Amino acid sequence: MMQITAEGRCRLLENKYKGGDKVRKFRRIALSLVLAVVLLLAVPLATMAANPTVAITVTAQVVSITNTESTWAIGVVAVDAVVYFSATGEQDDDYSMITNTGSVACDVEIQGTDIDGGDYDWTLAAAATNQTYQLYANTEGAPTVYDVEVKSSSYVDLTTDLAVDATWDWSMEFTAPDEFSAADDGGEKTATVTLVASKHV
Amino acid sequence: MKKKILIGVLVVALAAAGYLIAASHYLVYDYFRLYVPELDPNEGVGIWESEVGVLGNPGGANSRFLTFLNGKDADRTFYITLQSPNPDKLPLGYEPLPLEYYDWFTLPDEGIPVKAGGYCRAKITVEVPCDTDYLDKNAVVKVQGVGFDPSGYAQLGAASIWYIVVTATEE
Repeated sequence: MMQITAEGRCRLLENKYKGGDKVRKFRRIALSLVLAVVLLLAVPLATMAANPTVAITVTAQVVSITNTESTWAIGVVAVDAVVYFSATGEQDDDYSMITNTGSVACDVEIQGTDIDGGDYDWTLAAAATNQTYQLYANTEGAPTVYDVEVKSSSYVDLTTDLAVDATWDWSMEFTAPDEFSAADDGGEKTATVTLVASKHV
Repeated sequence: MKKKILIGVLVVALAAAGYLIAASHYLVYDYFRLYVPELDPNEGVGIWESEVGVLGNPGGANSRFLTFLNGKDADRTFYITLQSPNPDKLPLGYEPLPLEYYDWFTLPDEGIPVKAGGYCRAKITVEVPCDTDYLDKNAVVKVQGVGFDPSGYAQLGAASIWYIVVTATEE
């Protein structure tokens, strides 16, 4: 039978307490870590639960277009004159070209504006009448038919599902008002059309 | 004792750093995505974010930047507006966001000048009123930027399509 001396008992107790210190130290560190993790998770979760949210997710794809012709000088026009979007004013159905330079297929819409300038503005409408002009673009598959009515109030489709790197030729037909105001000073008038691309869905 | 304090400080510092990184991951994401090669525009006008999904509760608000790309062909000023989508081209079950809810959006109220070959980032904020009655609908609106070139007749723009669902149930 082994006998434990008083000195040995002291050593055993010392070791026991030393070990206990280590365990306590470890427990403290572990507890701190657990508390930190709980805080890390709990604060945002508590915030989310307490407040209404708006989550926004984004699809990162480039929608991008170019167009070859950006200017159009119509020149002096007579009543009811028809002028085409081309270098000469004559009909040229593929005068301008849109290219899809983005990373996804896109739709391209068009919108026009009234013509401002001089003493009297000209309003863009479906038919050319007094102080009102009309603007139509041509369509895919029937390029000589100008049946896309360009409006000032909303965008309308010019082309849809244009593939990446694909091109689209187009032009426009302008018809001057069938009656001008005699009081108009004949000053220069300006307008714009806007082509906007968005992802084809 | 000093060791314990040091360990405690370290743990708190690590926790704070982790929280900050987690909370700002969108900023980190935004920072890095500025350098993707696709953002090198050639000509014309483009947008980086083709589609955006918004899922919100009444009283909630959030913001997002849209990146408009300007080609190397001209200096342009970008004007950001909301446009109603063509109802015939929407996914099944979606409708154009009615005009009366356009004031949920805050857009840049002035044009953003962008040099040829550059880009701009427009902050779009969506704020859903607490008392909205427009709940559990699938709505679509376009956020578009037209790059106005004063020398041009045909202006170019690009739009991102925003899909919006507001529900009373908090996510």
